[in-house]
Amino acid sequence: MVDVLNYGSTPLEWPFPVKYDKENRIETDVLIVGAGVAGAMAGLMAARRGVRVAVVDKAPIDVSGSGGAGLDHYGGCYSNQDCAITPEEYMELAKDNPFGLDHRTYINFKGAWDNLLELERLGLRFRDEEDEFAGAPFRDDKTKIMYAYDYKTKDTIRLRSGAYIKKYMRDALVKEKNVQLFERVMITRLLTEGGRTLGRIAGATGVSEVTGEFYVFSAKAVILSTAGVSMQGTSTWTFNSEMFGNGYRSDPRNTGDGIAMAWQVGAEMNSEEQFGQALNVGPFGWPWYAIGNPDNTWHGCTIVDNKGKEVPWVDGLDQPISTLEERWLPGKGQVYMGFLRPIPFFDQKLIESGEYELPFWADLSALPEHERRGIWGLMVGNEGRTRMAVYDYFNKAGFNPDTDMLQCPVMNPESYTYRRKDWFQGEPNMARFWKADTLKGLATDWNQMTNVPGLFASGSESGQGGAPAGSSGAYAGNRAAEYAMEVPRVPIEEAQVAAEKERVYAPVKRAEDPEARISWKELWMGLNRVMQQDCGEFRTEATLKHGLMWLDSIKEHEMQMTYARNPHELVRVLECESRITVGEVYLYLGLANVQRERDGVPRDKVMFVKYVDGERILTFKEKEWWLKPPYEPTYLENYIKCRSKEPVDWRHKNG
Amino acid sequence: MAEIQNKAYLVPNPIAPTHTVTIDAKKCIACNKCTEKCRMQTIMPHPEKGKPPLLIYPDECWFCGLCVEACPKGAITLHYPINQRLFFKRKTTGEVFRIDGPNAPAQSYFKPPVG
Repeated sequence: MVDVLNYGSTPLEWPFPVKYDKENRIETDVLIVGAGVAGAMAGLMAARRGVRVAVVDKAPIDVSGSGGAGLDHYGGCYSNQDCAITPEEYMELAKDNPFGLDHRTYINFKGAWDNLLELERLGLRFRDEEDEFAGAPFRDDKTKIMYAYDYKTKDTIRLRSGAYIKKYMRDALVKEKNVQLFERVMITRLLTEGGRTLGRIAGATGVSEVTGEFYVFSAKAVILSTAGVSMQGTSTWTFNSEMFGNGYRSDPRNTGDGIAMAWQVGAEMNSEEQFGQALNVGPFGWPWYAIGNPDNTWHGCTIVDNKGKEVPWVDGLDQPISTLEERWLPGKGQVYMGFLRPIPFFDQKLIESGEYELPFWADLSALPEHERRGIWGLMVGNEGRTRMAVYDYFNKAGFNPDTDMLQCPVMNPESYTYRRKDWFQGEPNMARFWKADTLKGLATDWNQMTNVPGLFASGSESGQGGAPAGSSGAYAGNRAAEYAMEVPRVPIEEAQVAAEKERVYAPVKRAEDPEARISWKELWMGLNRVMQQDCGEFRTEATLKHGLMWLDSIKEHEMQMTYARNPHELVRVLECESRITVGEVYLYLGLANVQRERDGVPRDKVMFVKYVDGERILTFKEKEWWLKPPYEPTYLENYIKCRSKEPVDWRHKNG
Repeated sequence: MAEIQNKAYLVPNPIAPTHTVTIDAKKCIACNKCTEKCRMQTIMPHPEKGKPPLLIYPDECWFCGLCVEACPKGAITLHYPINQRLFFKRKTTGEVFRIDGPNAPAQSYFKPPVG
């Protein structure tokens, strides 16, 4: 097969004009870094407050971000009046949620339903207007809303045209006259007052992956919505370069740029020791939603063994259930399902003894039509990356959900007994825990502003992933606009711009140097090895320090030999440099945890870590600090107070 | 199959996955709409106007399939890597097929996705 992969001695010219020497200066009020579901919504809301907004993304905004290839459900819609529990009740019920929750969780869930209605106004469809699912137990015949997972609680709403959620958002942004869009531009550094750490935000610099040209943004407020540090599995905390893109759940452009930039200006991170493989990434990763499994998007699907024998189910509290309907209801003693969903489950010995023969098969045909179509067509079809890459692809390949069963990956018997994730990722634990998750995200206050004045965070960037990213973005957009209306513009420190320009273009300038023999891929591999070795499940103060020393050595040596031959490679090198900073953040947070243990700080204190002028600084706040002075004692009071400057009274909008 | 010729080239190793998408040059009208949707720059416009886009960074493909959807001529096909092509079993006949396998059955499910 003749193609460009096996190019000869003369490479083709870059297909766009190359303008490494061009510099663009843009003045705006609010700069949005990363326009996924959160950032796009932040930009829209800020613009509606009358300020000027620049929305920047590394990819085309109609498809960018983890939701850019689709979204099949909106979770956390506790404000919908048909939901069995209120956001306030949820905060109380989920207090001991292992994923951890704080004021941002509340902001997410309080606003999720409102945000979904906003998306509906923008063109998103979620109601079953064509009555395709009339009579289905998950459909409310009055509102035509279709719920997912927990049909009793009704906190999660299925989306009918979620595959195009970002298109609706981009179309809306284009209509706003005070919005400027910058696509395929990577923001590389935050600019601060006097170029100082912890200085007020002055703007940011960026570079185009198409032309290589440079951007300098002057802004009063910056919202980071670049993801990368949420509690979901992301590429930034899986230090493994052996993976294929098909195994990524989240956007592969999610390289931790936001967290790296925030750390460099002294933003505080919340830190917590956690270990475990990030979801379905790595050499054993399977394409998401494209394997037989009974959970998540495929929730409720019947599983049979290789001889056709059905696998029994248990509820969210591991109690056996016998009817099909119970798979979509909270278990006995459960107020709501939450993440503890029913799942097929049995003793691994039943597989080892041969009573159940591998492989298992997911049997959609065993489900009633509305559930089968609810999975194959509604969820698979709108969920991220499924419309063409699973639904269309598999249908064309001859797969028919009415007659065919899809194979589940073969795993070690014990893996079938694990709750949740293993079923749909296929043997994650064959790989070592090449992820050291010490990061709970950027710390923000009730305004979603960090400790750096003018620096806001939304979406996964602030520890919030998934569908409610939209409500997080809407809220942050409003707060940042209010901030920008009140503060004076901070002048750009030209020395900071010049230094950044020097860093950004160094890989291009050295491309012809025979000593520059390191590709971005090898630089990435180097970082991964450091993290696998020194920041794994077993780590000590000595290994963490060794890791920092190792990274310093790579930064001083091989990173200075890394080349870029075109704007694509240049952006990849810069993304690697972001990843290296994220690696350092993990190592520093690991050390902060060691220090915390040594100092005997009680576990219920919340730790904040920042890095200021070469020094790691730890501060602690008490448990639930977001409900302690200077804040109000309840979630609702704080929320009302923070939204009180909005011109439209949101509390009356939905009746 | 073509006849063997005593000719060989000194070329770099291919990268894998290798052909994550293929573009049918006969159908392609070189509108480059597919490249506009590619967040990874896996496919890029050809520097010569009028030629089909180039698959240049397949190893970075996210398999989102948005290029397939963007093509007005149906010229693009997505291909999962071999290690991610599982089986499906037809309950009615007991036949076992593999996604993109050698004996793939004809399409029999035609409902469009919901929404």
